[in-house]
Amino acid sequence: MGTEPWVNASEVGQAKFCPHSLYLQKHGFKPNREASIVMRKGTQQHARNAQKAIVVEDKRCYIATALYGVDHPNTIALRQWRDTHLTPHWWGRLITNGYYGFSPLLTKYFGHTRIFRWVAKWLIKRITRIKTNA
Amino acid sequence: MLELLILGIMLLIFAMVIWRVMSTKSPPIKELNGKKLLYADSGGGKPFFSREYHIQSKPDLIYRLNKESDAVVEYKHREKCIYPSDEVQLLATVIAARSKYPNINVGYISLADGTFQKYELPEPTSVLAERISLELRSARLATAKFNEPVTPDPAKCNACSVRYACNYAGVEA
Repeated sequence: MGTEPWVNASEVGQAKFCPHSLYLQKHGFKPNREASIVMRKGTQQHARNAQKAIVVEDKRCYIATALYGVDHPNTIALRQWRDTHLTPHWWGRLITNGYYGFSPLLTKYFGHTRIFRWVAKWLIKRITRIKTNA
Repeated sequence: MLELLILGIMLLIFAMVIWRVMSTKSPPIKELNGKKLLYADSGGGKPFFSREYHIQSKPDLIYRLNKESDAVVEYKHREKCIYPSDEVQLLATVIAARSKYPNINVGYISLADGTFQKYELPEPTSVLAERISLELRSARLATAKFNEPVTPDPAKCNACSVRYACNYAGVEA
C-alpha cells in the first residue's frame, strides 16, 4: 500500500458512484452548472453545520471561568449542566444566550469586587450541588 | 427622546438574543448532545492522513462518545436517501481519521432533512480498508488517469455531473 498514489475520501466515494465520472473530472471536465450550484450550497451548509457544532460545544462560562479558571471541576460541572439541562430546550438557550450577553460586562466591571465573587461562588456551589444530587 | 432611545436599545438587545437563540440550535443528531467535540471542519482545518493506506480526509465532525469510543459525522446536503457511495466515503474517512483518533468506532451520515444513519464500526482499520478495497483501487486508477471500463447505469448517469462529457452508449445528455 505504501507506494500507492494518495486519494481522498470523497474520491473513494465517487469511485463507488462511477469510476468513469471520477476519471472525467480528473481529466479536467468541470461539473455541470446544476451540480456546481448544488455543490456550492452543500459547501456552505457544511460550514454552517460545523459552526453550529462549535457554538454548541463552546466553553463560555464567563463568571465561573473568571472565578475558578477554564478547567476547574466547578466550571466543567456548570458547562455539563448547561449542555444537558439548558441547551436541549428553547427556553434554556434563551437563558444561556441572555447570560452570554450580560455576563462578560458583569465580570468586567464587578468581577474584582468581594461581594460579587461571594454571591457568584454561592450560586455556582448551589447549582453544582443540585447537579450532583440529580 | 431618551425613552425612545432606551426602548430602541432594549429592542436591539432583544433582537440580538432572539437571533442568537435561532442560530444556536443543538446538533442535528440528538444523541450527540453534550458530547465533547474533538474536531470540526470549519474550512481551514488540516486533513487527516492515513500513511498506511494513503487516504486523506477532512471529516465534518468528530465527537468523543466515551473514553473508549469516538464518532465521525458526515453531513450530506440532500434529503431522504443515503447512497452506497456515502457509506464508502464514510469508511474511507474513518480510516484516515483513525490516524489521529484511533478510537473511532462509530460513524454517522446526517441528511439535510434531519434524519441520520448510525454505523457501528468496531472492525480494525485493515478490515475497513478491505471492505472498500475495490473502490480504493478504482479511485487510484482514475487519479492516475487510467480509464477503467464501466457498465452504464441510467439512474446514476442521469444524476452524473459530467454526463455531458461521457461517451458511454445509452447515456442521455
